[in-house]
Amino acid sequence: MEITDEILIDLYKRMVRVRLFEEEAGRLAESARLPGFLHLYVGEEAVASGVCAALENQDQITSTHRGHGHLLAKGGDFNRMMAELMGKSTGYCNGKGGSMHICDLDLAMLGANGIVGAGVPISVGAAFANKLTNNGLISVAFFGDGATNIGAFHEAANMAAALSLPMLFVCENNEYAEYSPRHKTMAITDVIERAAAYGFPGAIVDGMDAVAVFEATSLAIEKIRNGEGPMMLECKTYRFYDHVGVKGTASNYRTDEEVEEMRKRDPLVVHETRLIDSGVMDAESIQAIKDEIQKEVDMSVEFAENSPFPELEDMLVDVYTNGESS
Amino acid sequence: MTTVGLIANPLAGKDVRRFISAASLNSDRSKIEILRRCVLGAIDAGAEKVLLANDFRNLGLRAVDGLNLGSKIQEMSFHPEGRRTDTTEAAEIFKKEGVKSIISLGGDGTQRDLVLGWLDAPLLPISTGTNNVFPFMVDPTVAGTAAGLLAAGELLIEEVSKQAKVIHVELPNGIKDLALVDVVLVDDRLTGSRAVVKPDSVKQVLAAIANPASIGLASIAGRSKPVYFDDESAVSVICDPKAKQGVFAPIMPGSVSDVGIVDIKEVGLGETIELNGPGVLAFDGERDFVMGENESAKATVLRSGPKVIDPTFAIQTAAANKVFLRKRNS
Repeated sequence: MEITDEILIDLYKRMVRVRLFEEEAGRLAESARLPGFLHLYVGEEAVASGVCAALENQDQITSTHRGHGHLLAKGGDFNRMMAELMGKSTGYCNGKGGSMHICDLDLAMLGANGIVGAGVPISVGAAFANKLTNNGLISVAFFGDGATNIGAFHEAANMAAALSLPMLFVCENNEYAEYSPRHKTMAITDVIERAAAYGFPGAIVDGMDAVAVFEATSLAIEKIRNGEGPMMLECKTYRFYDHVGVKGTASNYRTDEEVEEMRKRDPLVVHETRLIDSGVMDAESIQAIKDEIQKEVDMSVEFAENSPFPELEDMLVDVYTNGESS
Repeated sequence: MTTVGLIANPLAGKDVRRFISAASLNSDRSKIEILRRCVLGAIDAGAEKVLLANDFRNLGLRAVDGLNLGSKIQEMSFHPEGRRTDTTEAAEIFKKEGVKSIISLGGDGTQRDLVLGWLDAPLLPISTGTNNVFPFMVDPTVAGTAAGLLAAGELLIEEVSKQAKVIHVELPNGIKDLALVDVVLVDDRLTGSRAVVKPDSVKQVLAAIANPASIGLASIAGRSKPVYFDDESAVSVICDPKAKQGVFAPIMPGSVSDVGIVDIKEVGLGETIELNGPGVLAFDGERDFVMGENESAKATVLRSGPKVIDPTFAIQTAAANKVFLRKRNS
């Protein structure tokens, strides 16, 4: 696929949408205006943006506990997103799901998931349905390196391979399973070796480069749609903030120097440099995009703060079928 | 100290070509086993020490785990960052430490990174990449033995090695770069996922080694006008998808493409040719440098590269010298 100017700009807009929303959510959480746990996607924007830009709208994705970026990169709505984070009734899950359970079936986003690794078998189910109905769609499971140490991942990988399902496994390998460095929890370093164990191909790409991710995803999904079975894309990436929140637990599992070093490879800066060097955009138009998206983010905060909390009588609605308690 | 240098690129053989060709995955486990056999071969052949480049996967240390070789194993003191410059930096340290031979695991790109750090290194390259024109397919025990015999002085580098050609490139920004196999101008404007996967995007191939029996972009030249390691020349091929003549070339493992050819030209050593933008320059198979409309790079092929140790020839030479016959204590 030729990577046009439009695609380069689209990739940038997706990344900026994620970055500015996440930065705002982080600020709100730090100032106690936003409740609950918050797992920010800052630093990993190139992965969700590169993958989602290569998909058809109705291709399904499943997400993780760090799931804001996946939904936003697929076209999620700031207002409903921010409202959900604040537990308001105008949110994606009517304010009762929160950060780790956001989903939007209209965007074929089958849900973030608070259980590590639990999204992967859901994606297998979607891929199985796609195959049975021959609808031409593929499903994509986002997951972290730590999730591949979970049993559900292995069952999912085996089933996807055994049934030759139209599915792309996307590992966001940020080198840490919460606070545990990868080398302390795994005897392998590249998760694609686990794809090989189950009998399907995998490849590694620079997860700090949206173009590299987009290109690799495009190559993979062309084959997957062609009936060649599942594939795994491992994106080497990094989260700039802590496992939870911005400042997190101040645990010493990684050094400030390491974070600073990785920040030099900020995917937004990498892409901005490319846009300018290739003459696609200038600094002024880049700033205009940021300003416009920041306004949307600001409006979503206002929207969410002015929205009501769910009513007490709706507590069990959406929990049991038909919204009825028994 | 009779030292063998040992290095492996953990990322070799793992890029996107696994999606669109029949390229194998070269796993860490397989690389660890190769490294272990190299170490054992080298020590058995008389090397007093193996200097391990501590790649960011710790493949080297994992390879010697449990061997109880004590001071015969030395870990290099530098901090790899998981980038290609790790290999270059390690090569500089090998040079500084005066190792007598280096075993390097990777494909063509890995060997290029190493040579960027030590141009005329005593190098025994082993294939663990995707396209492996430059490195050898050889049993690692044999490779380790050859490198160990060199370190121990049982073989001389002059008798078992040949100096490789290098394509020296001056980029439009004045920076100097190099390739060992090929420099290719690609009709693109992004480096993206690095690998060159679209045969119609190839505009020009300059190959120092163009073996028709190899795979990769150099096979376009190799199947048009072969140039071998020993030949005192290189070859330049101008490509165009609309050309009336084509060559069937395996630009990836298992992936043979019909590439349009408009001109094939021998290039003498020392002769400078230009590769004109716009386009992306790929060095030894990887898109690496974006050139604009009015930019061009200058390339000159010289026999100035690493002293490449042929492991088979080295072992045969050692056998002819009766190096392996040892007296037993009765």
